[in-house]
Amino acid sequence: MSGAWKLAVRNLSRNRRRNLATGLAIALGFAALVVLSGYLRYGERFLRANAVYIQHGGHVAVFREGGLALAWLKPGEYRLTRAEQDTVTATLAADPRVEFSAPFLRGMGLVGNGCRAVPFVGLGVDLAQEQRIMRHREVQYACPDLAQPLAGRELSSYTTVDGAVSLAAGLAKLLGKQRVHDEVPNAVATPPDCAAPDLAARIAADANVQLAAVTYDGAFSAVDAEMVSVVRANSMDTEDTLLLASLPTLQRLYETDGVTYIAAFLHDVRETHAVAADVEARLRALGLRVTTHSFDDERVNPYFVGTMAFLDSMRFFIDLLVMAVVALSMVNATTLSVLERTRELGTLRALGFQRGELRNLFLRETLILTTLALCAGLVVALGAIAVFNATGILVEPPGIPGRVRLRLEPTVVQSAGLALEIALVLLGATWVAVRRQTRTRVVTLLAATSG
Amino acid sequence: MPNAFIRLDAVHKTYRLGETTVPALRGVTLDLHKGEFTAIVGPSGAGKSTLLHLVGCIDEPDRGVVLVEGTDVATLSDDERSRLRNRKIGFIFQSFNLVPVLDARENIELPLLLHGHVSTSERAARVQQALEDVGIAGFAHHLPDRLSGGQRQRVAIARALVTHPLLVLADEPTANLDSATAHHILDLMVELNEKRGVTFLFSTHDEKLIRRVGRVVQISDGLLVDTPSTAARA
Repeated sequence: MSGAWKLAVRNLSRNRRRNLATGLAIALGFAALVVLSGYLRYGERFLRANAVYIQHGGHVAVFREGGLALAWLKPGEYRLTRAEQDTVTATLAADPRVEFSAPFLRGMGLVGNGCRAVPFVGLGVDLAQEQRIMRHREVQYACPDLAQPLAGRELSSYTTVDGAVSLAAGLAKLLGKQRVHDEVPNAVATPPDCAAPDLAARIAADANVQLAAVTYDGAFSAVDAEMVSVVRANSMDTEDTLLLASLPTLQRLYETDGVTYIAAFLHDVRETHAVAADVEARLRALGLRVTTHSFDDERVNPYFVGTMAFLDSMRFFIDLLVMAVVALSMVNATTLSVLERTRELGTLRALGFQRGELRNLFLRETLILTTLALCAGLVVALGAIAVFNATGILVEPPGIPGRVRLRLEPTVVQSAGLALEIALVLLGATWVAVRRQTRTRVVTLLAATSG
Repeated sequence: MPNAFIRLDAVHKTYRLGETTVPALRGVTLDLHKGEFTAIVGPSGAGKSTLLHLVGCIDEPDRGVVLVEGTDVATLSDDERSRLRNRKIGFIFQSFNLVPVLDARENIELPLLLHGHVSTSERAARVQQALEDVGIAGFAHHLPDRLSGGQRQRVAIARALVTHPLLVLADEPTANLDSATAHHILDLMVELNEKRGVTFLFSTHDEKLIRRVGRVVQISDGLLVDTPSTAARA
């Protein structure tokens, strides 16, 4: 150890209680920030998994130009035709950054139980890809509970059931449907007597529902369907309306072979914007009038974008608060230390230490104290996180039905970044505290009664 | 005067105490020569410490010139003055001014840490030599608060000598010591002056000590009573 580092270490041992208190403030502040970063990272991962997989938006969605906003109003005009679907799918399959893609058809209509019909907002899904989506590792890690049906099995399990649909819990309740297909596999659907006193029991006795809608050509259409599962809606807004069906079922209802959009699911989320731009450019070069939308586009996922903005602002203010507390602790400790050692500083200056060398001496002390405190803080944070994750606390995310198991998962890069941020703030605080004293005349320092 | 390696020429220094200005030095001219053992004597407030501060380049005159080996100190930057002090001047303080968290050896080594060209082994050898020169080799690993006043001042002297300076300045080095210890310290300084050729300039108001010094410079009210040309030489 060089003399300057040795002196710094020895100086830290002078006022152990004060340095311990300062170190404790740094350690706890750092631990709090690491825990917070772990919470926010999990929050982001959960929200992203919900947006990309549970809501079927993909990392990148390919719409006909204008389709994002207008496909609801003019679904026929803004659909992707069979030929366009093939081109988009082939283009996405050729991009190594794309893990897989899936087509989706959005539509509205009425779903009835024979006596009562309520509006639904439907999403037609490719059953093979639906299984891949719901069993994706990101879903299984971040929100496995949301992928599990409340009753019945996954929609993708019912490839042989004609007209298989999943209803959101609220929608199933509105229709009075209490049993799914597996619970009443042999039930024969008969038109109920809507005036019968036991109507509710009769409706609940089978899983049959009827879908009705206006086709893309403006005609009336209806299909029989079987409620194979009850699922959580992907947001509170759709709790009473969400209906998932196989893509062919909804295409039959709307009498189309088109889809509303094709979603691309990527290997690496960081490639999202690049893939969106590249794919749109390639498809336009092939003559398709399409636009691509990333999952973090506010028009696509306002909930995700809004919540992330809120979390980021919360992170910013908490970071600011913690940094201010630890910086003030350091300024206070360093200022006291400098005042106590005024004459010693004069002695060192007389012996030939330059102003910068004195500042470096204090900066070394801060660096040592900060490093030790950050190590302690990391141990505290990792311990707290391990205990927290082991308890398996369930929370209800705002705006999303159901509960999820909350985890804290800080990353090495984030934690190192926070440590660096704290170290720089504290070195800056020390520099400010020391600067004035080191610029004082040597004779004035030597004349001090302290130190 | 030829061969003067430090020269003060018509130096003035005034301190401001609130609304009052106090003249500490009023046109002092003084030459210091290598190998001299010089005492600055005078009553409290006469300007002894101010004179030492100016010679030691830790303060600047209001008027006049301080030359160290022909260089006007006023033309040097703060960092250059620091380096000059480190390389050419040793300091001994009345209150010893040792760093309390460093032991005797480490305190002595302190100014050598700024000598980048001195190797670790040479540094250790120089520190050991300095410890032996002042007779406290047995206390090398004692912290200052475990040493007596005399021992602490010996450490301070060793620290001043370890860089092989041109000049050692001692501001009332015996003021905080009992009479016997004060004489031992002075004996040590005289011995270092005579045997090792170390140049000393120290301030004191102790008449007993003055008798043993080669050259005495009297100062009173900021003026030299005996000018360098009239001062007694060893």
